[in-house]
Amino acid sequence: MRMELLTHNKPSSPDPLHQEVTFKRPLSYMKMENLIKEMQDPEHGVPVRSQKLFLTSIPAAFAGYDVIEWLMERLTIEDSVEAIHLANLLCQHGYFFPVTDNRQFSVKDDGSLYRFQTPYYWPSQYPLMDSVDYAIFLAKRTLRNKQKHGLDDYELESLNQLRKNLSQKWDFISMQADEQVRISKERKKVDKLVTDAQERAFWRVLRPPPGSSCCVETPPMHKHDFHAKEGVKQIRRTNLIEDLRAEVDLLRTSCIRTRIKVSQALESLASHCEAYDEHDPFLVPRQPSNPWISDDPCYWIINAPLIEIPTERRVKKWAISMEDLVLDPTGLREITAYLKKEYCHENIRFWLAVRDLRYGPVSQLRSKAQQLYNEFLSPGAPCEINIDMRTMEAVQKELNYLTPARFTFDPAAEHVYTMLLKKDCYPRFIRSEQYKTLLANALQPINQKKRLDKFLSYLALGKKKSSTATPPIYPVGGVLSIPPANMGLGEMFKAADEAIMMATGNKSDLLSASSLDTDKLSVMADCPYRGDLAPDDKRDIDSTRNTLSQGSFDDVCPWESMEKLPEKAPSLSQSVASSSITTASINKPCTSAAALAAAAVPTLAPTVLPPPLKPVELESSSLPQVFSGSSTGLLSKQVSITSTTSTVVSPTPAQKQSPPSSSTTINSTVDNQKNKVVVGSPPLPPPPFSSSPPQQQQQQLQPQPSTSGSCSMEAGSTVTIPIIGSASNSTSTSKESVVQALSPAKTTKTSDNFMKTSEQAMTCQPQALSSIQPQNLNMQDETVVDNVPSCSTSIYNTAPLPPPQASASSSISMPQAQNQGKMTSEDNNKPSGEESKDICPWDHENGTRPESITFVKTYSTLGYL
Amino acid sequence: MGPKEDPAVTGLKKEIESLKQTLKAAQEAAADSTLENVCSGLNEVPRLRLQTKRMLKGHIHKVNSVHFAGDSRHLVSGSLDGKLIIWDTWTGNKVQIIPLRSSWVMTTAFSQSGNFVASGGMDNMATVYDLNNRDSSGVAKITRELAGYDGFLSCCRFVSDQKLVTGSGDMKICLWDLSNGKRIGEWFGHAGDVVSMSLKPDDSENVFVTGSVDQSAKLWDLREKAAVQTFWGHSADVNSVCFHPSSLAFCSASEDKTARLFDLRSDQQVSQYVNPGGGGGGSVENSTGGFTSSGLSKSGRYLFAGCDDSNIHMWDTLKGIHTGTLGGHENRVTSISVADNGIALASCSWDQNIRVWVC
Repeated sequence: MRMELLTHNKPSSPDPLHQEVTFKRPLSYMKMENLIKEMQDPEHGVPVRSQKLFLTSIPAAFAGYDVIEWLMERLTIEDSVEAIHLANLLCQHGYFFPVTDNRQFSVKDDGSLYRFQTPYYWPSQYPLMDSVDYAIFLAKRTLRNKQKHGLDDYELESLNQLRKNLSQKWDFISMQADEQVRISKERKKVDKLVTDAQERAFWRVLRPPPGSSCCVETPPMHKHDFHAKEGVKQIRRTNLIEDLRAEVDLLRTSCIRTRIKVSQALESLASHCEAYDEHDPFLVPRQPSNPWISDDPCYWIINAPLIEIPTERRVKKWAISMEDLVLDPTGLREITAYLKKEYCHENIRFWLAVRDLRYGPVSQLRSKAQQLYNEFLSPGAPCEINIDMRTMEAVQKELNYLTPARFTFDPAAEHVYTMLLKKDCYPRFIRSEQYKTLLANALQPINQKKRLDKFLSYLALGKKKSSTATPPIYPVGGVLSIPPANMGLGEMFKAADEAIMMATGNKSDLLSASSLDTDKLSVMADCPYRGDLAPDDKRDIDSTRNTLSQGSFDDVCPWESMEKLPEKAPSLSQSVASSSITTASINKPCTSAAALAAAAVPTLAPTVLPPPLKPVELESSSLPQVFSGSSTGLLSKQVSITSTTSTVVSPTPAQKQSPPSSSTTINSTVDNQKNKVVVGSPPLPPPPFSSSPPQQQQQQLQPQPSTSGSCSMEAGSTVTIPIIGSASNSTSTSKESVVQALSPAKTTKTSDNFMKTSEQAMTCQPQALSSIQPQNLNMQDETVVDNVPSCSTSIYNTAPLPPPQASASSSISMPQAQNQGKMTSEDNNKPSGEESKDICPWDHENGTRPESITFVKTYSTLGYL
Repeated sequence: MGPKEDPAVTGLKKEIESLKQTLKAAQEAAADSTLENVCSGLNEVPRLRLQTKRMLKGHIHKVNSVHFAGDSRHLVSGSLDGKLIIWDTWTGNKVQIIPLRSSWVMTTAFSQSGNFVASGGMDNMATVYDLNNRDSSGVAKITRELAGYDGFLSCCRFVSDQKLVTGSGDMKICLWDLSNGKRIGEWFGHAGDVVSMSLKPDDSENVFVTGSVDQSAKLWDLREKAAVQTFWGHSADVNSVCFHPSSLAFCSASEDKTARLFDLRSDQQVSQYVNPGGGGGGSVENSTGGFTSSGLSKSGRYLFAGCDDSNIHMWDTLKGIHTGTLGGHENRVTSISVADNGIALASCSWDQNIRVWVC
């Protein structure tokens, strides 16, 4: 720009302090100001005088062509266009301004009139003018002649804005405005005219009308920033050769790059576009309707990141690629559920766990990495994943030589993802029945307001139901929701499984441990893989550990036992092949089903005594316990067998002996476990009743439920700890069979007399039986209603239809279901008052109750559900 | 003129020239077809009828940047009035207003989860706000102030809630760990200000593309020390880059009044989009203004580019046809953002407004 020519105008010896202050202003200001000063020189400057325009005379003004001419002469500019540009810049910076036209700050090469701005009002002096001053200026103008000084629209707007913002200062501002108006009245008319115009022009530059920009804004960079920037540039200049070398290198590598043919690349682009055409909301009308156009929030509801029934389009999209599936939280949930059902979900769990590790907090990095390694990678790990030698070695090397980092497992995860998940699991999922049912049941939103409303109310109904089924309102739920007796149990349990992936509020009630996490999650509900892995991992660690220790079927976390008890039952019966799971879940049927179905246990026991149980016996200290322990093993084994063979056992008086004994044995094994399974677990809170003498235990009988509650809570918070798990499991199993059942069980344990035990058991039997039901049923109700299993459309009406997917497991779950049915019938005879009494302790122990309520609220208010 | 050039420098310059020739030849060798040929058989896409469905008013100065959250509904905007505003674009309400320490904001980013927003500008700093953690006056708290830049911050994106990647006027790319506020790494490569970046959709943790004032765009992998790939072609600042949803390509918008599509695997430009309006008759020189921002529709079929001429231009990416403009803004469109699920487009302008376009 021309300004460079003016360097000789720089002040010769600037005072350092002065320089300090003015340095922040661009140098061009100084150049312009010097030029303006020259312009105003009375002798050699631009001729300024009173100009006559029609009948009025305009004081202290100059014509456009004068200033252009002066500039061309002074700076020896040949081209008038350049001079006009320069004049325009000066004008835009507010050094002079058009007298007549307030809108346009530009200079024309004609007789139009301009006036110099007084240096006091040079906008470059005050680039950051206080808005109080602006407010005074505006307020002043409102006090004066409306025709002359009336405010423009944008000024009026900003005045109102300022009045609002500066309300506390407004008295001061209006006072100042009054004062200034008063003073200006005393001035001469010509002076007044000029200063008014100058002031107005000043603000016109600093606070331009919308659409035009303020050119005197300065960046908030400090002095050292300027230096730093210059420094960088200098360094770069000196390294020219290095720069060039770098460029040469860059070009060389670019040259040797392998390139695919453009046609190929373009084809894949085109096919991608075509594949996703259907999913581009700009190309295809939105379903059900674009929320912006219809003002209908339905779109947000049915497309929430986690939803029970995804839309058809969404399900279809999952089939395009694995990424489309796993990037969608709902899709991830579905495939995990599917793989879990197929017993090959260790891969996806590993992959998720690695992802979790990558994003998890640094503080937990080490423990998480270790846990991950133990579970999935170490030789003979419970869930050993199948990766090739090389990847394994790479991971192990990293583990050995480095502290575990976020990316330690990345190669392995990558391998699992590309080789196993993508090539094997994903195609199977897409071909599976489950996917097909998902697709068949998917929502097909219709673009009709009425139907939508219906659907909404439908949804709302579902929501209501789910909220009524949350633990706090158990009694109601127990009465209201009839257990879907003939609904495939497998379905329900699968739903329960999914619940973990979902980490919904209701689930968080059960998982007191992860309630915090889930709460946080609820905020946006967008990142489903935050804290929810922990319980899931834990659970499998436990179950697998069980397989390892072969007899220690008790070390399961309390919430698991609650959840898993019924859940694993079908799996047990379903596949004999997956022995790990069967062993792991032995104790589960034994508590739920055993209470009813454990039939001829004593007689069968000696025959079926499985060798793996022996270690437990050996380790247990006291003889009676050993006895009972082994018998439990048998018992539970037996029970599982009965369920596998799907014999429906009706509870006869003779058989009634067994349930209490089962609970006893569990207790005893708990003791064993305590001695045994301490392997690598963190310090344990003392199990409430483990080593206490029999008398004490008897004393403890009444407070039992509460202690067990606390125990489970602890387990929840510290996640691992098999022993607590086992301890509380025992309590929870007994809790399962509910408080009354527990007390006889306890006594049985303390007394060596087996007969006596059985007698007591006899006495308490009915209670035990009856009390089991509400719990079980409630649990199932809850899982069903909350987690609306992906496949079941029948959730909304809670109609007891067997969902299609249950077909695989239906044969197995039937006996269970029948049992359940019997339970129900018995249950129905019970007065509901007792039910609620039974459930109360569970309520109390679960500290998440208020949280859960708020959770549900925020969730729905945010519009994600 | 000037000091005499070092023979080493001249040698290197010659080498660069010859390398450029070979590079060009290699690219041409791979270019066995053109977009028109490949896509001639494709169906026409419906003409978009996007309308401004929400006009988000509230800023009292130029709005410089908008970015959608992962829920496709919340939006952050940053303006020279020194405020970040979090909008619910559907209701049109302001969810939060965050006053900034420095009003010179140039870029904003919303984390995918919606928990954090980041902003930065001429304060040479990236500032991260936690939207869920508010102080007594209800303003989101600053969780991190990431300093250490020698130039303005021109672009930033959340890799995850824990990581932020930034590009700045000092030509570098920084990766920050937000959990401890430490810099994980710095990457150099551009010879000019980095002004724009876009994360790769299918590998957003590691790979992204940047556009720079040095007229090139570069592909980066955070696991590598240097840029993985460089794309030349533009003849002026690359103001904006945007990854194609297929992750196989990206498009760029430039000051040179063109937008281009670059393919990663064939390592070259595959298409160029110009604004035929403005009396230019399709020629670049006469079209109205440089492009400031770009975005692609969910399928990648449509390209949107915000322009100096206060319009948003649209093209069918495959056919290369200019399909129209979205008019409404009254000044330069500074930034556009396509919602994650592709349902809406937000644009902001120097006219102090934000518009949400849907169809």
